[in-house]
Amino acid sequence: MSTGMTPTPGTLRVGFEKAMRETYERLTTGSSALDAPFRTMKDVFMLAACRGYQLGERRALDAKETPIHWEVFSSDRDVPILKAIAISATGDVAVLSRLDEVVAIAEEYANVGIRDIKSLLLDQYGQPLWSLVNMIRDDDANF
Amino acid sequence: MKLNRLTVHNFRQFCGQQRLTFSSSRECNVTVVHGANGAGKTSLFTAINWCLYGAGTESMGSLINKEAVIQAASGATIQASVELTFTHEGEQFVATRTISADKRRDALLVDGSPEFSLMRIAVSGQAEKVNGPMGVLNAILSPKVRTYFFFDGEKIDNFAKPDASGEVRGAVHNVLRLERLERGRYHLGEAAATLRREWKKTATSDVTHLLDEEIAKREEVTKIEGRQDELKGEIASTRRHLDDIANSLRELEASRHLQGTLDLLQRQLEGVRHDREELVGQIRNDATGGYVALVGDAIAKATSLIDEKRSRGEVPSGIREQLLHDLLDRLVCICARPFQKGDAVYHHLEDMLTVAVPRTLEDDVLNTHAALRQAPTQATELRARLNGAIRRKVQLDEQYDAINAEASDVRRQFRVSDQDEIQGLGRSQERYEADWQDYQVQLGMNKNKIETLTREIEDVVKRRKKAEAAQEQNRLMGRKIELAQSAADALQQVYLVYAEDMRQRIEAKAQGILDSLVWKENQFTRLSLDADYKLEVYDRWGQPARADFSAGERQVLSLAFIMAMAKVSEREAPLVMDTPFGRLSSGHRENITATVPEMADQLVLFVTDEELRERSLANLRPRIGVEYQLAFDDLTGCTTIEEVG
Repeated sequence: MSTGMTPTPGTLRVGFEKAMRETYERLTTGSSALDAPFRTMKDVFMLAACRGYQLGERRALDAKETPIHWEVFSSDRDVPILKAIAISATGDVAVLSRLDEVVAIAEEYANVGIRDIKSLLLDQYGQPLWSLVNMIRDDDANF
Repeated sequence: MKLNRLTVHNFRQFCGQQRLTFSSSRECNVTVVHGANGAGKTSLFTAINWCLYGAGTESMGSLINKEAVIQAASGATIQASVELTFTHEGEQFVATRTISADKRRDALLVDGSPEFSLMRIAVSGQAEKVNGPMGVLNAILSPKVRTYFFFDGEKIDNFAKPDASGEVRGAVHNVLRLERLERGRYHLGEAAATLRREWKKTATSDVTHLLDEEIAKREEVTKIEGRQDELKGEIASTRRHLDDIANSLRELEASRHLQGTLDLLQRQLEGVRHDREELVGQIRNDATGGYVALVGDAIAKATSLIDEKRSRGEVPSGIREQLLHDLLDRLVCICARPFQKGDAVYHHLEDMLTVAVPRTLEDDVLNTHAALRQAPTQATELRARLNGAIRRKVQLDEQYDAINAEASDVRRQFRVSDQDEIQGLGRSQERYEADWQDYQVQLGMNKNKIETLTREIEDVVKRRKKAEAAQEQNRLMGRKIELAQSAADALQQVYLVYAEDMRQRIEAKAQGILDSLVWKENQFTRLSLDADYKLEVYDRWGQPARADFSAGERQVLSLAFIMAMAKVSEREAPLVMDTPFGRLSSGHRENITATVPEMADQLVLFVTDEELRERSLANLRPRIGVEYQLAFDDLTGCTTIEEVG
């Protein structure tokens, strides 16, 4: 969780478990949009964090790597969503002053979400892009 | 080390303070202390050992002079001490060891452990305490070797005993400091062994194997890329054939119309494919950003929490941003003038929203709240777009299938035409279409293979570089092991050569000393100290004779060995002997006393009158610098040190 130190956005990095690197790569590497629909690992991470929140489960990370720079998260879309997840998880708006905790919460949700995404997109018959679309369209209840 | 002065205070037989000064001149380097049995010779010998090393006595209580104890009042504290002044390499030192005891009615209670101090006397005469005195003493004359320089005549024949090779070896090693070489060799050997164990743990880097793997994969990529070029050529050629066939069918009267239909259908197919590609791109963009649609719950909770805090006044209203949002929502300016979405006023108010730089939590909360307000709308719009796109995709798929089916039907009509030429062209067309499709599939599969191989090559290159780094580390480790082992081996060689040299020199010196003792000169012709450190003497028939030695003969042999060792070691240390000649015949004594002053820079002898008589004393006389007599008083049980002459 929070280290108690507030890192500057310039130094902050976001990560995932080393064991899940292959999943991140499979979803982002390749010329076919149908097989590797995501352009960046950041997009995979955002989906994983949101999916983990949706499933209501968090899991602390083992053997972490942190390849994603904080700056690639858009300030008008990605960052507010991560902050909303953090506020909702802690019930406390003051968590916004602890950016490292916001990131840690997102990483823990993503650690669960990515496993679900792998199962739905990569381990099923069918092309990952269509499985992704189904995943998002199936979730009518959320809004 | 050269002994200067010994001062004893209430030490054993010596009541009060008693002092003796050692002779240390080059010519007169012998100090003789005469005393009858029990007079205190051994006590003085013990005093030197006890002062420097705390050795030579088991019972602390027995060190304190009995007369001093008797004279002391009950409850008083009695002290016994020994002070030894000596010189070493031009510096003067004073070593003092003191023991205290309390006199009780029935017993003497020793008060703790003896206290020891070592002082260095500066040129000015001032004394300063030496830090780490045991380390300094160890360097001057280590406890390990003291028994070879301060030796007890009772034990003097130990080296000549049949099973004494271990002791002889130990003596040679300690006195000649060979153990340092041994230690050095041992530590270097251990270092090499430790490095070797570490070396084995590191993974064997198979750089060659990885390089081969990398080369093989790259070659495969090149091969596939070559095949891709061929396929593209085939596809182009097939395309040309199909175009030729289409042209031919256009030219023929019977097939012109049908070919025209086919041309139209193919253009439509092309159009549908293009639309589908664009649609897939749009779907991709929406789907990969569709995570906003998954967290409606979180957004609602977060905005609700923030609203709650604002309504309780816990978060400042952020009038500026909120006001701007309100104005933009209502499309009414602050002056109550209406404006349109997208007009200049609208854009101006929007620009003002982006100017603010949040610096406080309140700002962050409000900005987050403001951004999250858009989320539900964005999510709804996204879903609507996705749903629409999927419906459109389904339509396009159906359209594609329908057009394709129609085109297939036209081609079938060509194949079954009653005109041979058209039939032939139709069949060729079908073959070329099939070939074209095959080539496209192969092209796609090869593209995948190339992508996979490229990733595999990246991985192999990473592993190869890691292996190369490990190999370099291994090489350096191997070099370190080599160096450590070479140094250990070299030190071993130095040790062997040096030890052998020392052994030969001691053997030669001891032989010389024995010869000078003119001792059974016709009976025992040769002394040897062999490689196993066995001290032996051979008779005139070349047979080992030591086993037949008397106690006195063993004493002579041991003395010869000790004196040879002391001389060869070139150590600056005195020879202090306590009753060394007790068991020797007068002949031996005379010979030894003629030789022994040469064996060390300083010689101190504690002797009984019987040990040094007439000719023996006469031999020593020219070299005696100072002489003492220990006078024992039967009444008090105390001894007084009296200088003679």
